[in-house]
Amino acid sequence: MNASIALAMKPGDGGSAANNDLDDVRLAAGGDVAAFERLYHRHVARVHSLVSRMLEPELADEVTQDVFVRVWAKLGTFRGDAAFSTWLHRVTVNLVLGQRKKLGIRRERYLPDAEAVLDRTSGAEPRAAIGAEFEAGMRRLPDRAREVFILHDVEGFKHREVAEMLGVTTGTTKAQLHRARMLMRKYLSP
Amino acid sequence: MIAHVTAALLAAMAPAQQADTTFAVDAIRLEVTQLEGVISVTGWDRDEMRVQASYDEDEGRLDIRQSGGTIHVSTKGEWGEPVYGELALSVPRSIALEITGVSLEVGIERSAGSVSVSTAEGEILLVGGSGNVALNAVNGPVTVAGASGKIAVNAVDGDVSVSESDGAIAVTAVDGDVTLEGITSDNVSVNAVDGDIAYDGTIVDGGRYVLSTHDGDLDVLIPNGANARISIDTFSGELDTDFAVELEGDFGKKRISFTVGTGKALVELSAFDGIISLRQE
Amino acid sequence: MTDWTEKLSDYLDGDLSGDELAKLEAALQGDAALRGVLEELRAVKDTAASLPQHAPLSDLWSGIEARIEADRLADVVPLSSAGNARRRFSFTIPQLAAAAVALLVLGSASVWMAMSSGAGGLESGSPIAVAPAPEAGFVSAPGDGSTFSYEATIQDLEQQLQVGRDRLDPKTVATLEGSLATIDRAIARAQEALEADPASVYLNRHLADARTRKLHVLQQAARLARS
Repeated sequence: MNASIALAMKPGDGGSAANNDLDDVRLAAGGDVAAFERLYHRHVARVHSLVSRMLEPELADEVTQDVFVRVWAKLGTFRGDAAFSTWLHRVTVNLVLGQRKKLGIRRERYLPDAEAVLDRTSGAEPRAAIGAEFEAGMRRLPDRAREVFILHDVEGFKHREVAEMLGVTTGTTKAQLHRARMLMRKYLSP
Repeated sequence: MIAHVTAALLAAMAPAQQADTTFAVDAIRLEVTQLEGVISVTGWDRDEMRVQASYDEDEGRLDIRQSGGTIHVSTKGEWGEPVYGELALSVPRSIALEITGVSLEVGIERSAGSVSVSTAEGEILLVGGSGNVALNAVNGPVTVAGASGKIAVNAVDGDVSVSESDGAIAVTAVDGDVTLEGITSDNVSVNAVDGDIAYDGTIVDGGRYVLSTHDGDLDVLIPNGANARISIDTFSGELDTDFAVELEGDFGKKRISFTVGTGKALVELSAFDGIISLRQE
Repeated sequence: MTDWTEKLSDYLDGDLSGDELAKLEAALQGDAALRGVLEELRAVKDTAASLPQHAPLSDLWSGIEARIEADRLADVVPLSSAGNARRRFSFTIPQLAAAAVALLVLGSASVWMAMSSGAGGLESGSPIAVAPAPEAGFVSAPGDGSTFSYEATIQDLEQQLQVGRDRLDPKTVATLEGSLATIDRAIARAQEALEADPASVYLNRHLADARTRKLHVLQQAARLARS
């Protein structure tokens, strides 16, 4: 499968891709590895991107594999209430959050204060190569703000869902989201 | 067209100690099996192949066959036993090469196609090559220059040198140093067990550069203007760097990471026991 | 006085209503700087929602396939000695990656590795690496030869090499043995280091890399011996 197919699998997408997913989930749940490989190729880019953004990028390959192995084991529990892509996403987020907790990820920074880092680099390359610049900015966000920002603004989860995943209140997720956006704004400003 | 090559020629048997034959080809792939000896391949701008061979034994045979788009060249003795031989091949530059041997020195130059070489004893030298380049050696150095594409080198005992090449580069070595110079790549992976690693090449935005050794030194040159997030791991090694990294306590047994520029590339360096030298151009 | 900047994200997300919404919109009307901040926050939000996805640079499927194949084998192959409770072992991800390589390389139905998901990480029927600190999620090797282990895989390949070593050039054999000894020393040092620092991601990965390297060299040797 190619990247364009994976890119087409944004939340809420319906149509033939989702139907293909359902067919392949049924087959894979029955032990059809080829069907599971098709699911993998359709969704790996999105899973890998999420993992890469939420964890240290160097762990992304390993954890992405972990996600799909986990999904394979859990296919029998997929009831089809939501799209497979949504369910897969939930599994990914849960695993990533668990991984963060397990590894006790704490990014050591050259400059330990996030605000200072963002200030320091402001204007280095204003609005150029916005995608890469944006990704670099996200990596510098404080951990909680980064989690909320990625789950809400990048991945499209609602505050209620983000709060549930992180075990915090929606008040906290809203405050962290605003903090993250303000830091990103400062980072991206010329 | 391959029709220019007669069936008799394709199944040529050369019972003498010397063979020299030239024929037109439209094949896209050349497979050579030479258990012992020396093989040199030179790309040229002709749709012809020239095979010059010399043997140690009177009973040596040279087989040249074609199936589909692949030409097979092999040498063997009367009973199929290995025969020492020296082959000099001139081939269309774009033809894909697959060369396998046991005690075999391989030299390839002016190739512009994919290259795969596997040998146990002997040096591999490749100048040129593009697409998939896969070189496997047990005992002997591997040298690559001017290759382009996806370059994979696996060496057991011997130094590896890749220079003036571009593309995704993956090198593994057990006993031997790995030197990468003049590299243009956004994806470099080097893993050595007992050997030094040196990298002098691009660090491009969005790229990933992973260099790891167990017992050896790392020498990495970060180009001017590079944007990289750099992480360094060691167990009992040392860090020697031009960058103003502030360390708290001993460097050993911990990871440090810091960002240069906007941090768009990922550079991961690790030496279990060795000196990590991170220099700024 | 209200700092309306703090309300801009709620406004962007449609989470304001009633009086608060009206007041913020009034503030926006009269405050160009506030409007500027709003537009920049909107740009951040929009950019985040449209970020491209990046597929992994390397093929991950082969490793996944090896692991799920191992899982399937685990479903049909009986566990070790009768009466023993199923042993559970947790591994770090790099160790599992090494296991995946082992299975991929061998592709043998004679080996199995049970893997399942759990809160403490993935579990296997036998350890790939040993790190004896329970608090870090590791359990020592049971030494049970009836289950798949990395050691069994290595032994299998070593036997293949032993059988075919006469067919190899003595120089090649010496080289391979020397390099395997080099790798063994690296593995031993990594294991010692892990005992002191079992939670180290780097050391776990380093050990897995060394073991994978040994596997690859043995596989290469076995292939040469067979040829």
